[in-house]
Amino acid sequence: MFWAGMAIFIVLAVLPLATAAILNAKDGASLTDRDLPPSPIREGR
Amino acid sequence: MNLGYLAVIVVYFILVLAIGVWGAKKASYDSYTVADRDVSLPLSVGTFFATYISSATVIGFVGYTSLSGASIFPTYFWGFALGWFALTLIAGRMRRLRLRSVPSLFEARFGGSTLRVFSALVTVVAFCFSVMTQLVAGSLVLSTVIGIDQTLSAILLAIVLIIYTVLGGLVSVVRTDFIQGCLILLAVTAAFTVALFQNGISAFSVPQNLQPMLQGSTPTTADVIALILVAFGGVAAQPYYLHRFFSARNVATARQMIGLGGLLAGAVYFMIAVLGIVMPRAVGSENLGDSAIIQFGLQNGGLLGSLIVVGIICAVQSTVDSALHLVGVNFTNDVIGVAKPSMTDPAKHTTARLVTAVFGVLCTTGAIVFIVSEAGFITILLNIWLGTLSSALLIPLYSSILFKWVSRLGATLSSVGGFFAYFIAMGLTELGVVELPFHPIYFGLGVSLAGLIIGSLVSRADPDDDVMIRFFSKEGLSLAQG
Repeated sequence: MFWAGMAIFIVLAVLPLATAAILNAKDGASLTDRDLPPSPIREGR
Repeated sequence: MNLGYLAVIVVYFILVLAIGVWGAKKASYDSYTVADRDVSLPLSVGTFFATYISSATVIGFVGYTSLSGASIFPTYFWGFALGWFALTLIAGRMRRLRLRSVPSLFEARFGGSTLRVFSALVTVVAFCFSVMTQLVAGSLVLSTVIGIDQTLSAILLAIVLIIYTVLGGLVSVVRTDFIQGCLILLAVTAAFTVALFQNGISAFSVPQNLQPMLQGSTPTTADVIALILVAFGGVAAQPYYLHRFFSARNVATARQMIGLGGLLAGAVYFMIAVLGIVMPRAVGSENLGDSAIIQFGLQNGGLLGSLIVVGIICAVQSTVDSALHLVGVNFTNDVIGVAKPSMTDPAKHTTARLVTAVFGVLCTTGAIVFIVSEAGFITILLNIWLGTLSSALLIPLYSSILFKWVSRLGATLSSVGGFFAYFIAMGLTELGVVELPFHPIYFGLGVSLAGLIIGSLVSRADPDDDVMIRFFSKEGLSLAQG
């Protein structure tokens, strides 16, 4: 049971990396993107 | 007194203090709260990883696996990994919001400051207890290994991290976290390598008593589900991970911070689990539990001993500095700042430093009281507050970000209801007043979900154009990518 538990954990631990890569590719987001200028919408309205 | 270990720790303290002083040069409210929203991927991954790995991870999880074996997966590891997945899903949206604190999200989404102040206060109190218990755990290791008084150890640990956190805010915290993360990784890898060297391939063979999953904290399937929920909620709604999204350089960095940071933490968990199953052979059955990894380090001494001691100190400080920083930022930004909306950013910066210092001293005093009086109730309070954090934040926060139909009343009922349901259920159980048929997390999250749905049905959501663009539109997304 121990290594079965570990195998499930390894799959779950890789999932966020794969998800991040897919979402970034889908949105065209890149690590070199520039930041936004200051937002015109304040945090407290 | 062990002068060798003391010298190693003094060198480490000087290193992190130097980084703190350097961070103080970038003195503005934005640098203090969100590190100028310009934290690169390596630093983001480093700060997530180091904040994530606490003394509970290094000491507690090796100890837990050495006693309860495969139960470590449903009790902690699976829920944590699911929590990373949830964080990845909202990373982009969180980064695009360009906020300075997690509680301010509620005001940005719904208007009105009640939920903002409430969630800030819940966070502040939860993290105060977290800081206290981490200091107690760290000081115990320091005093055991070096041979100095535990109270003095707690003061030493606290002074160093309070100084660099107050001086540089998040700019210092992310950089010290990076160094601390590297040292934690080095320490765990070194211990794992030594265990492999000593045991060969048999390091991977699991003793029969450590094979079952239904043991330790998860004797039944209902416990498995409950603890996966607790671990998942504890990570997915943890404000100091969520806060890191605001400081990441861009959307892609925010997402990969969790992707790569989770992978790194997963690798550490793998090594920790293997260390756990090796411990019965390495340190003997009388030293299992929380003292196992410390005993293993002391037994091997020399470089490994030094690395494990410094690794544990790093694990404590990297988690406590983030918690303390968040206490300072949330109290200033979302409690004092709401009460005094006319405050300028320089005034808020000074206040945030002062608040961080005051809470740091208060928490250190609390830790010392705990050490001197051996008052176990602080640990109980921590368990109550961390669960309430999850019950008060998980459902209202994620639903506010992901669903347009959530109304202000729904989010408020969800947060306040979840908080009180878990707090009362856990409190009554801990005090032995009642014996509940289910884990208190079911009450907390159940009431939170019911509050969200009922409140949003009674008072329909009507998000204005600003909210629609900022939270839900493609336009908001393209703006965020610049």
